[in-house]
Amino acid sequence: MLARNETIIKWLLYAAAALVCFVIQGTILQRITIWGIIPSVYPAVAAIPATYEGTVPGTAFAVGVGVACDLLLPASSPCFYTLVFPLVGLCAALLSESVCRAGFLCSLLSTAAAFCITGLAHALVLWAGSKAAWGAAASVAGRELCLTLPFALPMTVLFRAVYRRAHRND
Amino acid sequence: MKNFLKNHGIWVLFAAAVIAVMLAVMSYLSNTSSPLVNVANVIASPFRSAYTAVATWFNDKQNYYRDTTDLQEENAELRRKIAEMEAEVRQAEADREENRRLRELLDLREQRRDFVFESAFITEHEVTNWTSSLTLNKGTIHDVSVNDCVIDETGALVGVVSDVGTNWCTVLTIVDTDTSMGARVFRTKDLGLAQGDFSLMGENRLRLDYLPADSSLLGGDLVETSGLGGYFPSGLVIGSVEEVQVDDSGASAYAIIKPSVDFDALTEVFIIKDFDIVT
Repeated sequence: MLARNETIIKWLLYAAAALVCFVIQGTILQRITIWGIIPSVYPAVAAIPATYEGTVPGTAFAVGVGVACDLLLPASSPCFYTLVFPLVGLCAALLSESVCRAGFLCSLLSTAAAFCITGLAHALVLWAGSKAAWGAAASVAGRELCLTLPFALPMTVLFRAVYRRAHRND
Repeated sequence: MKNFLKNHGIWVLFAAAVIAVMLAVMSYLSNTSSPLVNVANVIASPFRSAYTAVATWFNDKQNYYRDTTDLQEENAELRRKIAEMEAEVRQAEADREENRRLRELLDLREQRRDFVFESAFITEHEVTNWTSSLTLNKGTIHDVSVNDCVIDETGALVGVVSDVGTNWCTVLTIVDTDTSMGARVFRTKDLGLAQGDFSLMGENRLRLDYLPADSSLLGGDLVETSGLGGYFPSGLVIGSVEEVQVDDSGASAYAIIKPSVDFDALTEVFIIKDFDIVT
């Protein structure tokens, strides 16, 4: 059990790590287009910390990431990321608790799940707006996942370092 | 030696006198140098050539060093001048491009005196794979508001302002799924609804829906905003018809439109802040 100060520092470090990912996304990845797709680390930022922190804290952190994304990114519906990323965080935490322990494999699995959930949500929004494009949405989500999956590994190293620093006395 | 000169000195003297006279006569009669001078110079010639060669080598080396130093200085100077000229050329190209844009905008201003423009630079191209958007460097302090149309210098429609901040605004391009506007085919005057389609967004295309059943569109037909409803100005070029397809139900047709704007090449756009509604 962490003291209050340590908990605050831990989440500040997670926020700083997420900020690093956001900056890399904005400065570098944003300008790379492969297969007509930009790599997008946002779903992975919501998912990977949740694999280390569990369901409730992980979901809460994912809400924060979602709010940040809604503030920074254009979306097809209001609060899109704030609504979707908690699901991503929850799913990632459940994967780490029931399928495989938090680590590289779990990060890859949770990132894949994150892109599936986000892609599905985008497709649902399009469908709700009478602009259904299931095939195109699946294609974009698939390419986005393939392109972003390699970045999940360094992100895992980053968030695991934060986790280990915060829980070194456990 | 003393005895030799005593015994033969007179003969030696005589021989020397004869030789001297002969040389004098030969020198007088000959057009070339005297034999002795010739012999002396023949013998000296290789040595003279040698020391001249050495002197020339040293001289060449000295000149080479001086020339190299001068050339290095000249090269540095020329490089500096080239860099300055390249900078001037780049600036001239930028100025020429800006001039071209402004001239075209001036033509557009002449044609559409009802438009109130605000020029803006694109600070960011699309940031997600699910929307097609641009971020501009103008916002509410420049009187930009939501639903303002954004065009390029030729008057082609780029998109519509969807979100505005103090000094920024987000523009959803015409291929985004959330963009739709009344459209008219210039040749046939057919009316329809131009709207983004996610399946076509990746290819930078949009659809023209709700076409009349008897419409006879051709590839290349120009599509422009109709202005109906008063939300958007009329006559802004959206793009050209690429192909006409029948929808899934088979009951109606729609056209795929290729925008006139190359979104990736855009750097500067113009926001229409106000216009006269054509009724």
